Amino acid sequence: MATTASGATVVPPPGATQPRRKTPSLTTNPGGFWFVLPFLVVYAAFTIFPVLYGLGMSFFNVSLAGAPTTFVGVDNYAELLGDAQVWRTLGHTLLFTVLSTVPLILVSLAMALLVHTGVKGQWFWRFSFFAPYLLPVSTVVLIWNWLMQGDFGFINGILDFVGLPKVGWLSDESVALTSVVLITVWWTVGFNFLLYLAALQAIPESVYEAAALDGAGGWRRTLSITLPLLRGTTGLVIVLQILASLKVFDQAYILFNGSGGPGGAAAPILQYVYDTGFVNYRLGYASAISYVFFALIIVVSLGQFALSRRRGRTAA
Amino acid sequence: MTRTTPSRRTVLRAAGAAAAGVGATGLASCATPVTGSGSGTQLAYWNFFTGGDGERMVELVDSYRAEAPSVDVTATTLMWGAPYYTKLAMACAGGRAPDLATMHVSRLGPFAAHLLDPFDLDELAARGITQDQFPSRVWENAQVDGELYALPLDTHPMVLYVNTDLCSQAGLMGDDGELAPITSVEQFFDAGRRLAEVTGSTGISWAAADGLASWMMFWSIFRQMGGVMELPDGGPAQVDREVMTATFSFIRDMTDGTICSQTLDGPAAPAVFASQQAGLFVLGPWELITAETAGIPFTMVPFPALFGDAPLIRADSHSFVLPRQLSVDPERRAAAYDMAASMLRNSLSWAGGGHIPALSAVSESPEFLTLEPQSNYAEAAEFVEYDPAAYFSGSGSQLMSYGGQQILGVSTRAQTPEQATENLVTWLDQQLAIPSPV
Amino acid sequence: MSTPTIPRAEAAATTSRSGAKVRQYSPMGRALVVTALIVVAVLWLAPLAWALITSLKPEGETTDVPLQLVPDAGYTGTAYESVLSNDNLIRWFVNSTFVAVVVTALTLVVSALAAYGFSRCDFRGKGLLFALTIAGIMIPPQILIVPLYREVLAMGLADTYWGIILPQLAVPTMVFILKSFFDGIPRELEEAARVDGAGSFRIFWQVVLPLSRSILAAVGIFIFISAWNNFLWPFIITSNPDLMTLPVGLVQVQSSFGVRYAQVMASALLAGLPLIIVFMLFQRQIIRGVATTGLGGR
Repeated sequence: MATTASGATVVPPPGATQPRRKTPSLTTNPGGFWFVLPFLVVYAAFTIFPVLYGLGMSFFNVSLAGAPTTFVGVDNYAELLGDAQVWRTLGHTLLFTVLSTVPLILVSLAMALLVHTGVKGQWFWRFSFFAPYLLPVSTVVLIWNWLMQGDFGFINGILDFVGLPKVGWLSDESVALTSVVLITVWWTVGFNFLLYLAALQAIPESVYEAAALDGAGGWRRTLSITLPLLRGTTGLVIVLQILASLKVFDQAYILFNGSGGPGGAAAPILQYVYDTGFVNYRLGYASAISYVFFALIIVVSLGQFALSRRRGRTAA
Repeated sequence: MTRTTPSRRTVLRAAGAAAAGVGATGLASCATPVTGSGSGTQLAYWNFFTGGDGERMVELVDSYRAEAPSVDVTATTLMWGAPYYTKLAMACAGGRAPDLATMHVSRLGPFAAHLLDPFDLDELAARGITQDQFPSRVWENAQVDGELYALPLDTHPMVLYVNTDLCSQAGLMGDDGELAPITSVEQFFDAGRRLAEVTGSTGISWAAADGLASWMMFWSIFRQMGGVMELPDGGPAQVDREVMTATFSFIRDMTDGTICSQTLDGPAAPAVFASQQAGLFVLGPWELITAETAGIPFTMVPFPALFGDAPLIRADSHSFVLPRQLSVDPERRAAAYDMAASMLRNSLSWAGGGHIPALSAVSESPEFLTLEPQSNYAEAAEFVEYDPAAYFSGSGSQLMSYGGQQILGVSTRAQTPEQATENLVTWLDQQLAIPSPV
Repeated sequence: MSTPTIPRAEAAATTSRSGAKVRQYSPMGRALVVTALIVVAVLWLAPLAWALITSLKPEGETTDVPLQLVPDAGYTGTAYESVLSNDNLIRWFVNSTFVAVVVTALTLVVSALAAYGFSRCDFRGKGLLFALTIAGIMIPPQILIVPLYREVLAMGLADTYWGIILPQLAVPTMVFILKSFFDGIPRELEEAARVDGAGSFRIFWQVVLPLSRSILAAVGIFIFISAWNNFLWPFIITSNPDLMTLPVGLVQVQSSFGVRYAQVMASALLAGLPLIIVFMLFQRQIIRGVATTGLGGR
């Protein structure tokens, strides 16, 4: 790909028109290509190439177990359309995205508003809410798997103690995905919390002072001034969160030891890609599924792009 | 942004220095990852045994370590089932697989062709291991295309656990103090009902909601009824639909909530038997220790022939395989042969976990024959029925998982036996229509 | 994509957290706020606390029902002793540290160079290459696991450190963030250096980098955190337990002796500890890093 940019020369060859170059001045440095080259090499090798290679693979039967590769045209994509498991796991993924995005935004906003009131112990609050985000996913899931045990788990123990029935966090088909959501909220809410906190702290004091002169109290101020000012941040958080939630794999995989949960009820589409490619040896078909998922991500990303451009314009 | 405090600068510089230091040492060890100490031959061995089997596997490995002190054995235990086979296949494909690995014989299919090396029979003979020492069924199934790819350690058929106390209360024990022979479905179901009266709950503990347990029962009964399942590449599946429907009907009749629970899951089934809530229990022999630990009066017998004459029983074998490597170090390969042979010879302790040793020198030894109740069902090794050959079959496979879902659907009355047959056959056809990755 | 937050976050970093605001709430309101904070903090810390309690129990009492805060036999450190005497955890710790440090260092170097090239230099095809780089922000690494696995396998790098490290180095987002930062540096300084006869690389090294320390630190910490915590790629590409990183080893390798909860909790907590310490040391940088760059959404 990068082969078209041929070298370090910045002096245009005689007769070449360079309309984009306004002034060949000191503001541009020579040797730019060499600066970019190391990045381009790793980027080409480990992003661009696999993107194309994966696309190519999706038209072949490629086996992990060593069987010869054969060209199958669009068979993999045709198979995918009729593969109930693709749509089921895609459904789980979308459901997870909805179920996790809402609390991840509301809870993080609530946390940020509470901490921003300025009560003592700022360091402690921030630490408590953000610390789980720093833990490796395995630590998080091992702990929660233990908390969610049916017979001797902490959560059911507490439920039992207050007289509520036990819940089959890890064994009940209708609960399994919710368990993954709970874990994810606990684990990652701290990130959104920090984004909100930064946004809150960026609101100039003068805005509040003006409101105070008008006699607005703390709660009314929050509703009438703070929340509207956070609209931009909320847009950003929503988009980042949706993109992150769509990519769910690690928690769900580890929580159920790769089984996808009771009846497969908590298997996201990335796990189906993994299972197809690595557990069932069908790398070509797994690639095809990846690309359908990729298309979904692109759509959401473009949505994000449009959104941030619109926001940029209104802000300007 | 431009203001940097001296303290931060210092910290960053220190971090940089530390990074450089770690980087240097790490890079130096890049080519050969840090493995255990010792100057002798390194040997990496993978398995998936935990719990009681895990402890006995540690004993087996330790006894080889004692025999060959110059070999430095690294034994690694990975997660049972699909995760294990995924890692093993990926390690083989990457060419840096362990020197020796454990595998279910039923999972050989997708591995043998490209991911494993066959055993050299002469090398085995040199270590005193020959074909005539193995039950023929077991040996056959360890072969692919006339080559021996798996060295069987044991056979673990489906067995019947008997609570002697409850069974005698239910009048099921013969005069000889053994369970009176059960030779028909009616007798089996009747035993379940009578036991249910004694226990006040269910008679027979069997995990309908566990793929492994339910598939074992399904496949045994299907084979006892004379069912045949051929899974040729490209399909369609050659299946006796009527027999399959009859098998599902058997499951439905058995899970009436009195004879058997409809929804018992994997961990619960042995627990129900251990707490005397059921008088019979059907699974592989590896829950022997659970029953012993519970201190209940029990014995174990081969699962009876409910249909036909021969007590055909679903079974599998743990075995050792030689993963394919980019470059084979002759010393390590020799040590792998040594270790496999050693573990086979010492498999009497392995039998403590309920498995029937594959090596006749062990399974016919006086020590084993006096082992109770293992010797009761040792003959079952002659009647073992392995899963149908396909890349998606075997222990912990897709077939087991999908078949298990159909069986559970029947036992919970979510679908009829006819629907279950239709689903399973359709699914088999779909799997076979997909070009095999093997 | 995350540009909109940058100016705001810059402001955030310099805003003083005065206690002035809290006065505007009534005593009643303030009590409510404090109560709510305490409730949420308890909810958020309880899982860690219970994990810690479990890890300090003797193995025989971990599954006791009803739950017990203090085991009959009293707390004990035996779980930590057995976990730390096991080679695996130490080895994975070393692997994780090595991988995360190398990934961080190399990603920073590669991204900073490219960002500078895109920001300050001119060369043929730059617009196209930059567009290609920006497009990469939309490519989630997760969709590349299958082809990347085959590629790394073909390179003979499966089950090697480089196989884990190399695919993590190309992060277009970092290039974008650093380029945005370089774009904002006044050019006068560089021009002065150029007049003095400095070459492009010297200008980058001696003028631009020193001005960029704090953003490099913020970005670097985040690369480190995500490399340390990365699960999927190391999970795919390592099968050899000796090469696994902490997150992968913890869940892949089992104890022969079955699940022992005190030990599982002890190793899980130990695996989480390093970054908690990093956070305590670099809290301000990390918080600013999140705010500045919007990095690290999971």
